[in-house]
Amino acid sequence: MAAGVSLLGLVPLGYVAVTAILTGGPTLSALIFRARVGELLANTAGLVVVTVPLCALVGVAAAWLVERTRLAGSRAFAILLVVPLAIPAFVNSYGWVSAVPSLNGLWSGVLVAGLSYFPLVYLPTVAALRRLDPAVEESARSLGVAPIGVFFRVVLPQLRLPILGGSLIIGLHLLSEYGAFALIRFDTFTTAIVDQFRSTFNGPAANALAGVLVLCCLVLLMGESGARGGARYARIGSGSARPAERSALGGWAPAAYLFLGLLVALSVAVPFASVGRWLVSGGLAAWTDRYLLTALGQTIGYGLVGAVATCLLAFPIALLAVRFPSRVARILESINYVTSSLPGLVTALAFVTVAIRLVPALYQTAALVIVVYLLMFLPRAIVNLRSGLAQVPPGLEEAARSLGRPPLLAFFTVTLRFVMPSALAGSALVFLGIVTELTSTLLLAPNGTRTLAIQFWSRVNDIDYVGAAPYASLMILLSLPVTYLLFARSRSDRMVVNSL
Amino acid sequence: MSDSSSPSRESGAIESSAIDIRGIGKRYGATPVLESIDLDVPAGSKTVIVGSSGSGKTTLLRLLSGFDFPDAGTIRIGSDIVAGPGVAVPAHRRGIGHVAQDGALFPHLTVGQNVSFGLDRHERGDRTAIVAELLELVSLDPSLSSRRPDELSGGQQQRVALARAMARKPGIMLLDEPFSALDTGLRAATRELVAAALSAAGVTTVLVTHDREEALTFGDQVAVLRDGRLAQVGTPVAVYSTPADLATARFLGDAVVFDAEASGGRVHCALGLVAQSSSLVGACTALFRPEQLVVGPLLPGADAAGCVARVVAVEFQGASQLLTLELAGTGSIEIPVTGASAHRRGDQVVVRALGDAVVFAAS
Repeated sequence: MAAGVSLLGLVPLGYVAVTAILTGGPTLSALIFRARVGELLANTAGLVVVTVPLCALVGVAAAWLVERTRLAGSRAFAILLVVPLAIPAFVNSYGWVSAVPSLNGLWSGVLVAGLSYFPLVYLPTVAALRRLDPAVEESARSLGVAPIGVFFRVVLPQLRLPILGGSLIIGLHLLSEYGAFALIRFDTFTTAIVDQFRSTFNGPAANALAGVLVLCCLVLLMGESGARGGARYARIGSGSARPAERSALGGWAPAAYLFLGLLVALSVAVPFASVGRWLVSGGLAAWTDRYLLTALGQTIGYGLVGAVATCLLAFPIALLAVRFPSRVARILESINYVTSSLPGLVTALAFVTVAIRLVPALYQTAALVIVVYLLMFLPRAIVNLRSGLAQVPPGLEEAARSLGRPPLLAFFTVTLRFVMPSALAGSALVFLGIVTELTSTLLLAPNGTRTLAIQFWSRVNDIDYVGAAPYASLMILLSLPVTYLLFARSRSDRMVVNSL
Repeated sequence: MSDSSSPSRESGAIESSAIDIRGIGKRYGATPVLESIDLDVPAGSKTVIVGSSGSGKTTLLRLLSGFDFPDAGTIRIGSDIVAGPGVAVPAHRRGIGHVAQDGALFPHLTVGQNVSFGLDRHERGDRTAIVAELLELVSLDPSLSSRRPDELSGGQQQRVALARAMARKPGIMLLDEPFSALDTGLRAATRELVAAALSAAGVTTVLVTHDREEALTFGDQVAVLRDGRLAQVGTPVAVYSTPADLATARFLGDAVVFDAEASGGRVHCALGLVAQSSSLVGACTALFRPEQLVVGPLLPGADAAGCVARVVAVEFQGASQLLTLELAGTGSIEIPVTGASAHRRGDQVVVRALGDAVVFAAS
């Protein structure tokens, strides 16, 4: 079963490779080595190179201020800084375009994407800061290092993994995001592929661009894994659960408030204000949109089915990884990670093609949409199930067996019960992903599909910003509880953020 | 390990007192953790602060390292006030070595990088040589310097932490229960090694522990901390054999206690008339260490010194036996006896006291 899921996961990569071969060298190079591709590459690379370090900087600074200083209201800031995760990037972009219609180009892309994605570094950094052993920092101080030196020589190096991991996820999001950049008329590979696909359906041009996009993804993946190296900073000692000391900011406090206030204002207040403004100007009439309930129902339906299916399929993979670790299990697992790192767009393209060529009956069905969701969001479920399974002491199950439970029953009554919270958390994250998914749904969904994201997008494309507002607010409302769950888990020692 | 291989100490040998603590008080919220603590740590000495958990011993050590600051009183290091009214010298400017409970090695650095962490910039040139010398000082193989801390055993980690702190040639070293996480056998060995390394370098050392054996073996001076106050300060022998009060006595070792009646130089208790050195007269409590009590067979016609008792339980403990004796009229006491003396349940024996009893006014 685990192998089956993973084989399915090979489809997108296989598709890119096969189309590249079928297209043939000369045609391919003609399609790739042209000015337009160079321009897209420059845009996309520029976006990644500027946004990722900026997000890392902002995320780490915010995490440190919230966790390690005596700023009043740091708890409130801690929550507010996670809220951007509940606002899909394309909704944030809509909010910003509503506020500043002239937005376009690289710097606008950096602004909108950065404000959407910085919590992906902020959240794991907060979690890591809370887990650091304060005695280690005290050791550095007793060795004559001033507080600022302690931060750079001791704290920051220990934050390397969450920063790198968060940065990688941001990079992958930047490569695969469509809606946010389309709205501010900033062309990246992904926006260009969608445009190509819409004009020529399944032409070789779109496929060639997808190939380059996949290469970009692989470069990011390898870059991160290279930078990570063999680093594994286990907390060595048992240490006490003593929280780290917070520093007084003194004269720097106003600057810190300004920074955090501005961050919250730009990343939360602006999109909320825009959505609110359109909601007010639409009044009650906007809520009488006849597709609103359908869209809500369809979105929740896709979300629930996708979440349950993903969790069920993730379970054998997680179980293999935790209970029967082997090379094969590791390979199966890593296939899923690579596949989900590919833009949803590429996965969608691959399955559209495969369906049309091999299984036409599947084309334009909800089942195909679910399969693509599954591949995109599988790691979110695996990561959670893994940590859940790893936390169940095998001794517990053995105790149940020594008390007369048959092995299978022991597994179901003991282990499964303990894993339920992790399974729910994983499902919730998959649900969040599906609710805010736009690009691949646009490509794959059967005619007449009206999810919140699709309805929102079609309203925005018709410049009906008022009509889009109810859909935007519903997506945010559905996402907020899951975002809070992420926030709570990041404070309770469980890492779930690395698969967003 | 030889003196020549250890880093030389540049200061601290001249002052009579390396650390001078006067009237220290510290509270967390409304709870007082330390109250009016006075303590002198002579230069070059090894002082142990011993107390049960919650006695405030770690807090006291954190005040010395500069991780925390007292609410009252002053702390002098050498001749400089480092904490007191209007003065709060932070940890990184105190030049005091500190070894945390579990070593607190930097997990992202190798052993060598850990050890050289506190070196000044100009010393980094001969890093390898200095690191090797420091590792040898704590009896570790210099080849460990490329390892990661999590590849070392607990005892090795502790020794790396010590080497790291020694790299800055501090005049004072603070050890916060550095051996408590180690296995029993390893604990004693590591303790001896650390004590030797610190003595060789002539470093004034303050060790915090809850382990009474460690307290009595490690230092020249023992400070007993109880409920945030110093109950007694003295040499290990003094605090053990002439404890200031009953609680201190019981904390530092096993005790056999009788109600007694004191009269000039003597005390009358269940064991008969025993010498004592206090000026106390009247109702009192007499305390003996179990090793002061000698159990012998009851021989007809023998000298009546001592007290007749009946063996009610014998617990085999390998090298020794733990006897539970019932004394006429005063209940039962437990005494470990060594050697081949095979006592059995129901035997009649004689218990005698050696040396002086310690007496306290009856509570």
